[in-house]
Amino acid sequence: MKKILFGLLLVSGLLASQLGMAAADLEINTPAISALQNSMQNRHGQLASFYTSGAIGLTKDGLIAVKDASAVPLKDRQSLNALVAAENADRNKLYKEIAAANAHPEWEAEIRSTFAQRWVQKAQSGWYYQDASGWVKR
Amino acid sequence: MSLSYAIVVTDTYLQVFIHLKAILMQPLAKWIGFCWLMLACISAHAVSQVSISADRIEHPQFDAQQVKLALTLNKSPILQIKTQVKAKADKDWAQLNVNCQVSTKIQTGRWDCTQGQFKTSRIDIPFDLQISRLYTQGVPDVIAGIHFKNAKYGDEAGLHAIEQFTGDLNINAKQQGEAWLWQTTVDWQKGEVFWQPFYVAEGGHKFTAKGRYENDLLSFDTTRLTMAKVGELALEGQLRTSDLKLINLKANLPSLNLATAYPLLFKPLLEKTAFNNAEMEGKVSLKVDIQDSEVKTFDLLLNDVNVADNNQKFAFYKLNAHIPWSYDTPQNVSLNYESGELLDMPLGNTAVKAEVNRYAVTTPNIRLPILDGALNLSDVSAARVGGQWVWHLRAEIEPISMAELSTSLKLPRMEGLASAAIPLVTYNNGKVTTDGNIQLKLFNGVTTISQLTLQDPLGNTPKLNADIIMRNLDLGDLTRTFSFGAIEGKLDADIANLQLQNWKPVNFDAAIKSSPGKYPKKISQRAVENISALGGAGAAAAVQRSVLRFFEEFNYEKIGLNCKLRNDICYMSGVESTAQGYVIVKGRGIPAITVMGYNQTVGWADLIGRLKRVTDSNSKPIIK
Amino acid sequence: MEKLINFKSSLLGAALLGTMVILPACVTINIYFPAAAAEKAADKIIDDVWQLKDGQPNGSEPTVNTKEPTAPAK
Repeated sequence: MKKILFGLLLVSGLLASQLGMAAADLEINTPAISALQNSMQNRHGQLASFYTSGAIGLTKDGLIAVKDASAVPLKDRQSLNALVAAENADRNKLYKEIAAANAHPEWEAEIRSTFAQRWVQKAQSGWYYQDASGWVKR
Repeated sequence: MSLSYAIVVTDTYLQVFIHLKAILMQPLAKWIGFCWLMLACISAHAVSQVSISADRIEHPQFDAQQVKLALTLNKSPILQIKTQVKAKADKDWAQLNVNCQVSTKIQTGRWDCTQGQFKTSRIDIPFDLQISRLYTQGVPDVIAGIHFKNAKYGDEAGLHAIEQFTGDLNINAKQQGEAWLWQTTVDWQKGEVFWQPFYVAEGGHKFTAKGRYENDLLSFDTTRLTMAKVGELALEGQLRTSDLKLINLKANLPSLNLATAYPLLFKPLLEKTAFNNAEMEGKVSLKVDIQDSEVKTFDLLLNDVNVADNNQKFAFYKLNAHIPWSYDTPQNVSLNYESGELLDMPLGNTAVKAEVNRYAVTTPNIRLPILDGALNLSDVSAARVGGQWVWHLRAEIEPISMAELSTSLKLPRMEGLASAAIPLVTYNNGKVTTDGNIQLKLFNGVTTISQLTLQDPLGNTPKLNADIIMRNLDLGDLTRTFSFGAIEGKLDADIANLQLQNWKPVNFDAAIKSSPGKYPKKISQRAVENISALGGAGAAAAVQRSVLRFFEEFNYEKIGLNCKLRNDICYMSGVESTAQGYVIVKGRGIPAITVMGYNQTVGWADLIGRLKRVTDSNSKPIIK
Repeated sequence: MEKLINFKSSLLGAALLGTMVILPACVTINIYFPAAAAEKAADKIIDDVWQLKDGQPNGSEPTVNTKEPTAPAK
C-alpha cells in the first residue's frame, strides 16, 4: 500500500513538474492590456443595462453583438451600435495583446476562445449568449 | 388563372364566395376590374350590401388571405376592405384594414379612405388615403395622398425603425405614351427615425422630387431634400429600377451646417476613424457627380471649420479647404488652418497645397509650424491601396526650443533644441516607420533617436519602438531639471530596443555611464543619498553616514547604471561588479565615496515609485 | 492540437509513457497552450472589467485583485 502511495506521489510529482511550466501565470500586466482593460471597464457602465435588457449578448467568438435593438429606445440605438463596435475593437485588441505579451502571437485564437467561455461563465443570469443553436438566456 | 365562385342572390343581400386556387394576376387591375364588373351587374338589382371574400390570393410579389370586401351601397358607397397580406418572402401576415368612400364614377372618381391601418407585431401604420383622380380623358393620371398618423415601423433586428411618424406623402403620376411623368412630396412633420447608422430625432424635413419613369429607368430632376437645421440637398439623376443601379447622379449640398450635420450625417460614417468623437462647427459645401454607381468628381469646400477631438488628441481651428477631386484629371487641393493641436503639441498657422491624382496625393512641401520651429515635410506622397492609406515623406524639424516644447508636452522644463532630419518616413497598415535619425540637442549634449516606429498613435493602445543614443549630456542641467541632487559631469546613455505601450516603457536595454574625456566630476551629498534611495533597502552608500555628513560633495571617477527591462522587471548592473553587488558610483580621491547596488532585479513600478518620491521630495524645497 | 515533445533521453520518454498508463486522462493536455493559466488570466481581466469582486468600489480606477481566483480543477 505504501509503495503504491509512494508511486502515485512520485508520478504526480513528475506530472506537476511537467505542468509547472504551463501552469505559470500569463503575462497580462502590460500597459497596452491595462489601457484596454480600463477602457472596457469604463464602457461597461454603459453596456451593463443593455446586457440586462437583452439588447446585446455575448457571442461565441468572445465578442458582443446586438441581439435585439428594439429593446432600446430609438435615440440610444446609434450609441448602442457605436458602443458595441468600440467594445469589439477593444476585445479583438485585448486577445491579440495578451498573445503578444506572452510572445506567442499564435495563441490569439485560443485566448479568444478561452475568453469566450469565461465571459459566458461569469455573465449574470438573464444575460444572453450565443451557442451553436443561437441566443440563449443565462 | 383559375377560380371558382358561387353567387347567391337573395332579395337584399348578395354573397359571393370566391375560391381562388391560384390567381396569378399580372395587373391587380384585372381583379379590381372583375369586382367592378360584378358590382355593375349587381347594381341593377336592388341590393344594399355586397360582400366578397376570398380564402387566398396569390400574386408573384405578394399573398393575401382572408380577404373580405364589403360594399355598402347607397348614394355615397363605402367599400370596407379587411385582409391579411404579406410579401412573398415574409413569414408573418399583416392585417390591412381600410374604409373608403367611393365615387360611383370610377373613371374620374374620388376615393376617400379613412381609418386605414396596416398592422403587424412590429409595424403599426394608421393612415388616411385620398385618391382625387385616377384618369384624365381615359389616360391614367393619378393624384393621391397618404397621411400617416403616429406610424410605427421596425425591422426584426431593430436596425431600421421609425416611431411616432406623422407626415404626408403626395404622389402625382401621369401616363404619357410609354412613359410615366411623376412628382412627389414627402412632408416629415413629426417622428423619430433610426436607419442604421443614422438617427434623426425630430421632424421638420421635406422631400420633393419630380421626374419620369420609362423602360425601367427612373429619372429625377429638381429633387430636393431639406433637413431642418442642417441644410438642403439638391439631386438629379437616373436610377435603373431592375437592379437599383445609379446610372448617374448629381448631388449638391450648397451650405451645410457642420455643427448639426456632423452628429447626424458624418459621425456615423466616420465611426471607425479618429474623427468619431469630435466636436465640429462651420460651413461645408459639397458637390458630387456619380456615374454608373461610381463617384466621378466631387468638390468639397470647408469654410471656417473648427474640429476638436473630445479625447484631446487633435484639434484644428479656422480650417478652410478646397478639395476638388476627379476620377479622370488631377486636381489641386488647398487646405489651411490658423492653429491646432496634435497630441498636446501646438500647431501654428499652416497652409498645404497638394495635387490629387485619382487615389494618390502628392505635394512637394508642407511646413507645419510648431512653436518657434517647424516640421517640414517634403516629397510627400500618399496613396490608397487596397482600401488603406499608405504614405511616405521626408521630414525635417527646424529647431524647436525644448523649453517651450517640454512645457507644452507637460514634461519638466528642459533647455535645448530639438531638430531632426529623417530621409524617409512611411505609413503603412496603421504603422509609422522612420528611416533616419531624429536629433535632439538637449542638456548640452546630443540625443539621437533612430529606428523609430509608431503604431496606432491616436488609438487607445499606441506603441512606440526606438533606439536612443545620448552623448555628453550635462549632468548639472539634467539633475537640476529633474530635481535630483546635484551631480557635475557628463553622461552617455544608450537605450536600445526601447518599446513603449500607451507611452509607458515595457522593454529596453539601457546603459548609462560617464562620458569619456576630462571634465570636473563631482557628486553632492544629496545625490548620493538619492541614488542610494533608488536602490531601495538593498542599496547603501559604502561610506559611514557620519563621514558623509561632513562633506557637501565628493569627487567621483565614474558613474554607471544599466537596466535591462523585461516583463516589468529591471535587471540592474553598474560600472563594476563585486562579489555582493555592483558599483553605481565609483569614488576618487579623499574622501572616496562608492555607491553600491545589491539588488540585481528591481520591479519597474517600484523603481519609478522611488524615483518619483526622490524627485518630489527634492522639488518641494526648490518651489519654496 | 497535441504535438509530442522530442525527448533526448528515452528514459524520460519511458517515464512519460508510464504516466500515460497510470493517468490516461492527462494525456490530452496541450503543453503548447497553457489553458489553465489563460483561464486564470481571463478571469482576472473579466472580474476587473465587470467589477465582479465584492467590496470593490465602482470607480473608474483599475482594480488589482489581491486574491487570485483558483482555476477549476480539471
